[in-house]
Amino acid sequence: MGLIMNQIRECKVILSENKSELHLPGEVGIWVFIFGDMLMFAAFFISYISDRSDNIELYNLSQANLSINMGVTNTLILLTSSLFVALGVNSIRKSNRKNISSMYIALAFFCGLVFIVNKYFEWSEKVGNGLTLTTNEYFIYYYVLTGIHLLHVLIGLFILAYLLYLSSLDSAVKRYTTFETGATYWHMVDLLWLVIFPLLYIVR
Amino acid sequence: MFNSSEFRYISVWLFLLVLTLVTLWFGTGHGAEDIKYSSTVALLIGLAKVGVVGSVFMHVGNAPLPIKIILYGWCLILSVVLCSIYLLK
Amino acid sequence: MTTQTSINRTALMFTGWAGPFQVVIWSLGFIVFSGFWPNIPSPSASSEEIASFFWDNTVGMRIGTVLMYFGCVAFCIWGASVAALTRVGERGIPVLTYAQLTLVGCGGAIGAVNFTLWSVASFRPDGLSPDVIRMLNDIGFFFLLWSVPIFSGWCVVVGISIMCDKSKNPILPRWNMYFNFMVAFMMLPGSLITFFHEGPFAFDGFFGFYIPLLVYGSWVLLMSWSVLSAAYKLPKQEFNS
Repeated sequence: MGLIMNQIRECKVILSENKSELHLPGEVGIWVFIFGDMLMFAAFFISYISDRSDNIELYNLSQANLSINMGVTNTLILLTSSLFVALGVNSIRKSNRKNISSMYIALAFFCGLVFIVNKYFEWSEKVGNGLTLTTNEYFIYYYVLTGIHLLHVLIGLFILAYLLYLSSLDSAVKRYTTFETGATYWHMVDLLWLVIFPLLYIVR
Repeated sequence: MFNSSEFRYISVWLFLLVLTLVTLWFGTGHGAEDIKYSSTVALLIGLAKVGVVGSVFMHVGNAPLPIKIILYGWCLILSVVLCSIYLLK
Repeated sequence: MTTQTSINRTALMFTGWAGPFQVVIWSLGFIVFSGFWPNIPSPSASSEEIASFFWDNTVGMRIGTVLMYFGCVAFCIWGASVAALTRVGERGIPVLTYAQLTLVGCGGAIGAVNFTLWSVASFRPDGLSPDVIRMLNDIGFFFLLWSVPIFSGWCVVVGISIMCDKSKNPILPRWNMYFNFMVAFMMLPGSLITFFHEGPFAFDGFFGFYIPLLVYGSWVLLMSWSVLSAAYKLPKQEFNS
């Protein structure tokens, strides 16, 4: 593995010298994490659609309890947060960036908070109607998928908070790879929701 | 005010917003008589959005080939598998 | 002035190899002798079915549980090698190493009790009521799978110790940190087995059984590989030093 890592590093050096601009943002390790996580979620998605095909009536009936508008709202929130993160990281390298990058990252953090608050209301409404984790197979998947995703969002907020702190330092530019790493994680959180939303809320 | 890469992010974001609204439109029963058609389109749009977010925001579009293969492969394989299982009920 | 923490190469190799050894011997016991896979005694099965699972194969079950017990001991020995490796990167009082060792001890103790209970379940065929046997089976699986937080916690601590290691040539590479955090996440579905008697999140389901065990096994093998790579890089022991 060390040899492979060295070769990747050499590749990056050569390629950047050739100005073909191939670049892997962030540390290599975050991509290990991301692909592993995506593999895990892929297993969840396939398991869901497969179990659904044995019990379509139940799944469709249960799905009717979900608010598509809430799902769309959350999708828009996360997409916007990804935009803010991308803009924030991009502005780290600008010479006159002073507070701009911090502002973008703070906005992304705020979006994440709104997502969590929305999720709280969404869940508490369902629990109030007696629809809990063990109500039926559909709701097992609903709570587990959105729950594990929510856990990722929470961790993402910690990461964004750290990036927010870093962006306030004068030495921020030197930590550019850290910003890319954190941003890559956050985009993954957005990416996962982009599949969860149609799968749970729309496919019937 | 915005440089070229920022402009790119913003235009892609707008495109993704539009795609989301298109998904909503399909998801609320418009656009197609057959619910299977709408659901499949919604799912495929979702996975396409993943590809776009990956390509532009995560810069996979500029990344080494193995990374591209893994991300786009994930989108492709999931599209095929999820849609097949869904459609073949 | 640099202080270098030295490790005995032979000791690290011995404890590192305990990792693959653990996987092999435990799998031999669990699958080949005890027969827990592929016919996993399901949480939705009746007490009679579970009782006959344990009583129709007493010899195999007993041998299997002995082997798994040794796997558990190998686990503890191996755990020390991972902790020792992260110790190299820790400055001052090795808090994170302590944290790891407590989790390893916890995991080992749980394993020991786990296999003891399964062995006891086959100890007196027809001498106990099937309901008791089913409960012993349930507890065994809970110890095996519901204990994932211990191992997730261990992965997180290993990841954090790599994160805190700011030396120029860290003994464990950075990607290992991300791998550990990823594994910590991936094992979590095991915590859900307490909610379900059937389905993919029950202790015989895809996310309740297969994911935690496969992820754990892969993690042991990959971490062993990291430990052994570090060990092979160490200079051979000089007898007069």
